Order: sequence, then C-alpha cells, then structure tokens
Amino acid sequence: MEQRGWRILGGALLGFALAVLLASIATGDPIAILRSVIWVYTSPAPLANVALFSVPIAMAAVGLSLAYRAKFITIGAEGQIILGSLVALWVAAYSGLDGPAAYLALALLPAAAGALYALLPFALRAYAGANEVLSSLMLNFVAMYLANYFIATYLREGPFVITRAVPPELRTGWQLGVLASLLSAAGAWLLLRRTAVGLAIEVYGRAPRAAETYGYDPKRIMLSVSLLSGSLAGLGGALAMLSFQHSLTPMSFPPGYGYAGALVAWLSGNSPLGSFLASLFFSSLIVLGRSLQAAGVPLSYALAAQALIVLSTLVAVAREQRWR
Amino acid sequence: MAVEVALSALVGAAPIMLAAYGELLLERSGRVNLGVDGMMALGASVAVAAASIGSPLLGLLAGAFAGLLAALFYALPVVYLRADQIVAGLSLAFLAWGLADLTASLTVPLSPAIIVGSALHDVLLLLTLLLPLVLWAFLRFTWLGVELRAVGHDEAAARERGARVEALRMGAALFGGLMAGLAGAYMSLVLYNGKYFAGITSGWGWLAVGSVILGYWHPLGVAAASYSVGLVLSLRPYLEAFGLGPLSATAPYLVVIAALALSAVLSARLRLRPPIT
Repeated sequence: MEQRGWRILGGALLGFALAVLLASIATGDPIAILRSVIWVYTSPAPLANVALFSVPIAMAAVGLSLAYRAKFITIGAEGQIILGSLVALWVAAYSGLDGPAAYLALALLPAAAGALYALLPFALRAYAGANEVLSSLMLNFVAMYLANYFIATYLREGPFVITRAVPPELRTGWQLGVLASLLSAAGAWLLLRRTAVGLAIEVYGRAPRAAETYGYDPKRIMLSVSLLSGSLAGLGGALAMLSFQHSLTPMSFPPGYGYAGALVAWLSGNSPLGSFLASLFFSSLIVLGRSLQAAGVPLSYALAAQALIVLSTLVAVAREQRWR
Repeated sequence: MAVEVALSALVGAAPIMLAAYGELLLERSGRVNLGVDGMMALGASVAVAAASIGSPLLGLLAGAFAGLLAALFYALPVVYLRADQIVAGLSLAFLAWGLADLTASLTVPLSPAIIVGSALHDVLLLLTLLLPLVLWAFLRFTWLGVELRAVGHDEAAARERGARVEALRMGAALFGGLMAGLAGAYMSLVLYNGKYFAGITSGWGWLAVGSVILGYWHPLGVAAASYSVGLVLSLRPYLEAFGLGPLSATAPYLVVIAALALSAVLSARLRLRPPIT
C-alpha cells in the first residue's frame, strides 16, 4: 500500500511535467509557462481560485468514490452538476425567495435535482441491465442540451442568450464551498467506517457474489450510492454557481468538473479524503489553464492535463502490479 | 424521395458508422475503448489543419492517422500493462479533446473554405457501406479474424492455443483509432465544410460505442444500428421546427439509451449472451 502511494505520486508528478511540457510546446514560450506555474502555486489570488474551482470537483469525486467502491461506475456527475447549478440559479435569481427560505432551497433543491437525475442510470442498470458507464455519459449531453434549452427560453434575459445573474447577497466565497467539500469528505469517510450502508458498499464492492449470498441487496446498494453521489454533485453545481459562475450561457461543451471528479476519484483510490486533496491539485490545473488563455491555450487544456496525469499514474501503478 | 432521404441520412450517419466499425473490431477482441469521441475530435481538428495546408484527401488521411496515434495512449497501458480500460479510455477521450482544441488554436486555416470533392465523398460513402461486409468476411473467413474472435471469447484458452493476444488487441485498438480519426475528419471536412470548433463531436463517439452494442457486435448489425442512429440525427431539423428548439439535440441520445435498455432486457429474456465476454 505504501509503495502504491509513492507510485501514484510519482506518476502524477510525471503527468504534471508532461502537461507543462505540452503547454510549453503549444505556446512556444517555456519561460512564460514556468512563470505562470510558479505564479499559480505561490500567489494568493490564483490560490483562492484553486480553492473555488476545487469545490464542484471535490463534491463530485467524494460521491463517485462511494459509487466506485460499490462497483457502480457512473460518469454522470457532469450532468448532475449542470442541473444542480441550473436549479441553484433559478432559486437564487428567479424564484423570488430570499432570506432563510432561499438558503434552505439552495441547500436542498440542487441536491435533489442531482439525485433525481442520478436515478436514471441507476434504474436503467437495475431494472433493464443497461451498462451505467455508457448511459451516464450520454445523459451528460442530455443534461447539457436540457440546460441550453432553459437558458435560451425561460431563463433568457435581455437581447443576448444569457440568464440573470445570482444576486450579490447570495454569492459566496471559496470558504463555504471548501467547508462543504471537507464536510462531505469527512461524512463519506464516516459513512464507510461507521455505518451499515458503508459496510454494505464495501462488502458488495469487494465480493458481489458473496455479498448477495449473505443477503445484501445489490439494487439497494446501487440506489444508495446513486442518490448520495447525485446529491453531492448537484450541491457541488450549486456551490459553483453561487461562488464563481453566477450566470449561464449556452454550452457547446460540458464544463468538465464532473469528468475531473471521476478522474480524481480514481486517482485517489476512491478515498473520500484523498479525493478532497486530489481535487485541489486538479483544480490548480484549471487555474493554470485559465492563466494561459491569453497565450492562446484553449480552455479544454485543463481536462487534457488532468487526463495526462491519470494516464501516467495508470502506467506507474500498472508496472507495480506486473512485477509483483 | 425515399432514396434521397436514405442517402442524406447516410451522409449524417457516416461518421458514427465509421467509428462504430473500429470499436466493433476492438470489442470482438475483448476490450472496450471509451475514448472514441476524443479520437474523433482529434481527427476532426488535425484534418482541418492538414487540409488547409494540402488537400482534402491529405486532411482525411492525416485525421485518420492522428486517431491512430491517439489510440496508443489507450492501447499501450491497457494491452501491455493491463491497466483499467474504462479509466484509460475516458482519460484518452479527455486528453484528445484537449489536444484537438490545442491543434486548432495553433493552426490558422489558410484557405477560407475546404470542399471535399464529390468523387472523394462518394468513395467515403462507398467505404462506409462496404466496410461492414469486409469486416464480416474478415471475422468469419480469415485465420486472423477467427484468432481475434477466439481472443475475445476466451483469452486464456486462445493464448494456450498460441493466439497472439497482445498483438491482435493492439492491432484492433489502432484500427479503432484509425476509423475514429477518419470519422472525425469526415465530420469537420464534410459535415461542417472544413470547420473545426470545440465540442464538434458532441458525444457522437459514445453514440458509436452504443451502436456497437445495439448491433449485437455483428458487422452488419452494427452498420444497421449506427445507420439508424444517423436517421434519428437527420430528424433533428424537423423536431426543431416542431418547437423543441435545442431539446431536439437530445433525441439521438435518448433513443440510443432507450434502445440499449430495451436490448438489455431482450437479451436477458432470450438468454442471449454477447459474443464477447
């Protein structure tokens, strides 16, 4: 286990070096890239952004780490985040609620939206036997087009296709989001260690056949991890909306926090607390990518860098298994 | 009239069909690559860059080759190091999306419009229609095809009998990349008149992966399934006119998800077992 940890770390650092190399080749200016890297990891302003962007990734990753432990391989956090932020925007800017009612609605409704949307891949798997990887991936695009539809019709404001913005009194800083993701990581850890649901997840994930023989119901386990991961992702989307997105325009491409969450969960070995730390690392790549935008580096660079890190970690870990 | 509709649906369906053929061969060898969509995006982007320097034909070839190279990111860890194929495939998708946008940001198209000649387009459509027959004959009548199916059916037994498991899977994965790259090149050069933009594939790669399952891993079945998905795609303008607006874009995904669920229920009822395990 110790050695695996070092290998993951080594693989991740190698991937990071490759990502920096890629950006240097792309812009043809390695000095500027290195300056940006140092700036991102040492200055307070970008570090605050790292904390901001880490929240939806961490919330998604903590939920997904539970699902993956139960061998329910959903990639649906992306779509659940989109719907969570859409609902949060509606509550904050359109519903007319304010004060405690608004806070309560913001805490509950986006999470409910994510959980409801997570029921789809669950039902398709549990009652039809359809593979959840593929259905959840496609449902992400459905969620994106659904959001685009609402943005272009009911939520549209003014001459351009853009929604209203979250009112200033409902906006939050990075502190609330980081607190929420820390709490959910701790909650997931406690769930796994101290509760019957957590035990069922662990037992079923390690030996599904044996677990069924001992009376664990696979459908109930899949349902609980779906609801947990869906509501966490929905809440993550809400926090993203309140802390940095503020408004929505039609998307031609999913924003990628949920995809990053899936990579983070895998990178951390499905550990909730490890997911929290790894999401800070992955978020720093988003901040780095944004700081390089002026140099012509596209937004999707961050997701590519994250994938590069996972791929090199995959290789580093696979070598260990081969030699054993 | 009916022929025209069928033909125009084929033009829209061709990228999904081409990408599905590549994934089909890999899945018959017992592996799944979820990176199809990314390899398509990279093919689309590289094709535009190459076509603006050279010719549309060069663009198609370069796009296909870029897909093949991208497949290495999946194939090397999965085939030789036995890495998790789901994680590797998804990572490839995300990496190739980024590389595609990066390629597009580096290159400025020299000519304003790239037009694929009608002769070249006809060759591509013919390839789309004939390749399933070729693949079917390959899987059924050639030693290599039988060996590939044996590897997919029972890896240990096939290895025992001397099948070259790694080489076959590597070849199938690279063929998958080649086809996905070609599919992407077709998207940008033919469907979008030589333009690339971020998110050009909009998940069609996953529609291709779904078509492989819907076609029951049989070349002719996959051709029929992916063509049907293309038919649904070609209905979008009508749905849009119907008042659904951007919602019409969800139709192909919802149809494929529903069909996947239905086929899963049916195969369980009929006790069908997929040809790959």
